[in-house]
Amino acid sequence: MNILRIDMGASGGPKVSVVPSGEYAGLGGRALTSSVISKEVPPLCHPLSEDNKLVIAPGLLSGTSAAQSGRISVGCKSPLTGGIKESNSGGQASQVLARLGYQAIILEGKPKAGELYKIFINKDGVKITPDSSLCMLGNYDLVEKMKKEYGDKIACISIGPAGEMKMSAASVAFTDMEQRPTRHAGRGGPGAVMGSKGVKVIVLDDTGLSNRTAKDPEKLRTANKTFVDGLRKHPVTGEGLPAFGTNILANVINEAGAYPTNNFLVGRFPGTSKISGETQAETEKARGGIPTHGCHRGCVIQCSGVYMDKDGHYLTKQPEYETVWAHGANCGIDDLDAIAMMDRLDDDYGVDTIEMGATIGVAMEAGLAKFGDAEAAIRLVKEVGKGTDLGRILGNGAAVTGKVFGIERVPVVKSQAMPAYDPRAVQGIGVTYATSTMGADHTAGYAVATNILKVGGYVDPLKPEGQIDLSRNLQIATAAIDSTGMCLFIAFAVLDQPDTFQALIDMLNAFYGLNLTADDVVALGKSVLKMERDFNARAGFTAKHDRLPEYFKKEPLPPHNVTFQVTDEDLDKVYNW
Amino acid sequence: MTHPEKSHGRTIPERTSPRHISLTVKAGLIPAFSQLLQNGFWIKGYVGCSVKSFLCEQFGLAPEYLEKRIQTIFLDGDVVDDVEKTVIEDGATLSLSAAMPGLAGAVLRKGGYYAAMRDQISFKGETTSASMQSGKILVKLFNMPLQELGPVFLEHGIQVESNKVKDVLKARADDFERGCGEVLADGRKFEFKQLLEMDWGGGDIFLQVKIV
Ligand code: SF4
Repeated sequence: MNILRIDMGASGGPKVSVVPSGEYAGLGGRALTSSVISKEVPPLCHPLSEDNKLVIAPGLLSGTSAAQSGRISVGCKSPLTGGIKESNSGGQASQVLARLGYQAIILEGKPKAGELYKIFINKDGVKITPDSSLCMLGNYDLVEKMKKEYGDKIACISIGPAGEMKMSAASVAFTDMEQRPTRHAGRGGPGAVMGSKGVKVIVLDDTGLSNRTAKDPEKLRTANKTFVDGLRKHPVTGEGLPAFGTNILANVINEAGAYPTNNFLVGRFPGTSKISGETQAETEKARGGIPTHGCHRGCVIQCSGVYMDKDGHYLTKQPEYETVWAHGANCGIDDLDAIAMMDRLDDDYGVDTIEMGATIGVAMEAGLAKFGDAEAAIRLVKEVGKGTDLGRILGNGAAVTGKVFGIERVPVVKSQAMPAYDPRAVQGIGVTYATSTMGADHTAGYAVATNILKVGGYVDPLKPEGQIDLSRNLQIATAAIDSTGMCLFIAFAVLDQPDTFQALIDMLNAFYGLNLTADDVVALGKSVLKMERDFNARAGFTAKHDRLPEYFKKEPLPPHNVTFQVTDEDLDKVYNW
Repeated sequence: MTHPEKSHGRTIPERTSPRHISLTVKAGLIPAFSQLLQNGFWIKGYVGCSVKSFLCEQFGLAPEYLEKRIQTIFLDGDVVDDVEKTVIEDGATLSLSAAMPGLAGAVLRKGGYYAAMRDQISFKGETTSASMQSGKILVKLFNMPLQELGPVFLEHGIQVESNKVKDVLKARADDFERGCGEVLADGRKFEFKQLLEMDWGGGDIFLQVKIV
C-alpha cells in the first residue's frame, strides 16, 4: 500500500505525492498516525501551523472482509491538548480508503491565502479543487452537495463550520452507510487542524474496486468466522450492545454513583431512566427508528441506531452513551429529544459531543444557563455554529470556557474534557484519565484482555497498587487494539473468550502472511505509548500534567462521598515498565 | 375523594382510592412499564438473607441465571462481588444488570478482575447472615434483566408510587385502551378509561400486570 501525501502549502497550489510505505510499512490505525506525528511533526509547533500534519489512517484489516475492521484513526498535534492526538471514528471511509490502496492520507503544509479545497479520490487518482461555495456549510448540507456532484456511492471525510473556524473542539466527520455525516473523530480538535490545512472535504469513491485480498484467503475466512461467532455468542457484543447501544451504561454507571451530574457535582442523576439506553431503544422502536445498526458495513455488533423525532422523521444517529451523558445528566437535562437535537447540531457544526456537553456544563455553572434548561443548552450549541463571540469561546472547549468565565470546577485533564465516568467513584478510570497521553479519555484504557495478554506479567488486582498496574496494562492493550483498527467494542468478547482473541491475531496473520503472537501485539501497544509519551515530553509535558484537577481530591462526590485518593507518586508509576 | 363508579352496567358503591391494580395486557405493552422497573419497585419477602437466597429461594430465580446472566449487581449503590455472602437488609436497594461494555463495565462486574479499580464503591457491609425477618426491598432492573425478569416481577406484583403508574398508563392511553384485557381495581372489574378517571390517591400501589 501507498501513503498519499498532500502538501497544501506547495507553491502553485496543493501538491500530491503517492509514496511507498517505507519506514511505516506494516502499521495501521493509531500506530501509524502516532508514528508519523512523532517522527515528522516538531513537538513545539503551533497545532494550526504549517508544521503540523493531519494523518488519516485506516486499520490494518480495513478494506477486507474481516468484521469490525472499519474504524479509522485521525492523528495530529492536538489544538486542544497541545500533545499528540489519535482520534478514532467509524463510518465508511476506512474501508473505502483501504480499498483505494492507501495506507494513509497525510495533509501537510498550509495554503497561503486561506483558500478552501475539496479533494476527490478514486481509482484514477486525486483531484484537488478550490471551492469557496463550500465555505461555512454544515456537514449535512456539504455531504448532500457532494452527492449531487459525485454520485451516491461516495464516502466523505469533512469538517463543518467549527473546523473552518479552527475551534479546538472541532471534529472530523465521516459519513455512515446511509451517507450521513454522523461519525466523528471528535476528541482533541482534529477538525481545526483539517481547517488550518484549508481542506473542507475529502470525497472517496471506490467504484470498480473490490476488497483487498489476503495472503491466505481461506485462513482469513476461517478466522473471521471464529471471530464473528465469538462476538455473537458473547452477551455484551451479541446482546447488550445490539439491543441498547452503548447507552446501556447509563443506568449502571448512575447506580454506581459515578454518573457525573450538573458539571460533576454529584454522581447520580434523578432523570437517568428517561435518557437510558433502555428508554432510548424503546423510543426509537416506537417512532420507526432503528435501535440496532452498524456505523459501517462489516460491523456485526451494531451498537448504533437511528433516532427519529416525535413525528417519525430522521433526526440523528442514535446518540451514544457519552453524548447522552454530556448533553444530558452533565447539564441536568432529561429530555432525549433535546439531547438528540444537540447531537445533530454537533454533527452538523462538526464538534466533539463530549467536549461540547462538558463545556455547556461549565457554562451552566458560570450562570450562562440553568442546569436542566434544554432550550438554553440548544441555544448555546447554536452560538458555536454561528461563530458568535460566545460561540467561539464555547467551541474552544471546557478549559477555555472555564478560564473565560472564572470557573474552578472544570473537569479536564491536559485541557480535554472528561467523559462520562466520575473518577472519584471509579478511581481506576481516574488513573487512566490522568496519565493517558491523550488527555482525559475513556477509550485510552478500555477493557482489553490484559489477563489473557498478560501484559506486564500477572497483576494481583486486589492489591492497592493493582489499579496502577491495571491502568497501565489497559492503556498498552488499548494502544495495540487501536493500532489494528478494530472497533474497541470487541474488547469484551476478547476479554472473556481466548479463542476470539486468537481469531483476531489469526486474521492479521492470514492477511499479511505473518506469525504474530500475543506478545507481538503487546510490544506494538507499548511502542505506540512510548512514542506518544516521548512526543508529549518534547512538547513540554511533565508529570504535573498527569494529574486530575485538584477539586477531585477535595470535593466528596455524593452519594458515596468519595474523593480521588490515588497519590501523585502512584500516578507517576503508570509509565514504569 | 370518592365517587360512584359504573362497571359493566352495574353501579358499584362509593369507594376509596384503589390499592391493588391488576391488568392483563398484550405483550407489546410490557415495555411501557420499562421506566417504572428501571426506577425501582418494592417487593416484600424475608430479608436478612443473602442476595442469592433472596432472589433464588424466595423469587425462584434460577441460580444459573444469577451466576451467568446477572454480572453486575449493586446493593445500595455498592458493587456486590459475592452474592452468597452479601446480606440484604430491610429497605435496601438491589439493582440487577447484565455484563456491561467498556472499561467501566469490566470494572463494575461482580468479582471482576478489575475490582481494585472501584474499591471505594465495593460492598463492604454485612457479609454474615443475620436472622431472617419479613421486610421489603427496592429492586431496579436494567437491560437484559429488565427484559427478561421485568415481565416476571410484573406478574408477581410490584409496589410502586401510584402517580407513576398512572402516568405510564396515561402516556399511552390509546394503546392500553386497545391492548388491555381485564382491568381490576381492588378485585373489581373496570373499563380501562374508568381506571384513569378514578382518583388513585397518593402513596404506593400494588400493581400486577399479566400478559394475555
Ligand atoms: S460496534 Fe458500534 S462503534 Fe463498533 S463498529 Fe459497530 S457500530 Fe461502530
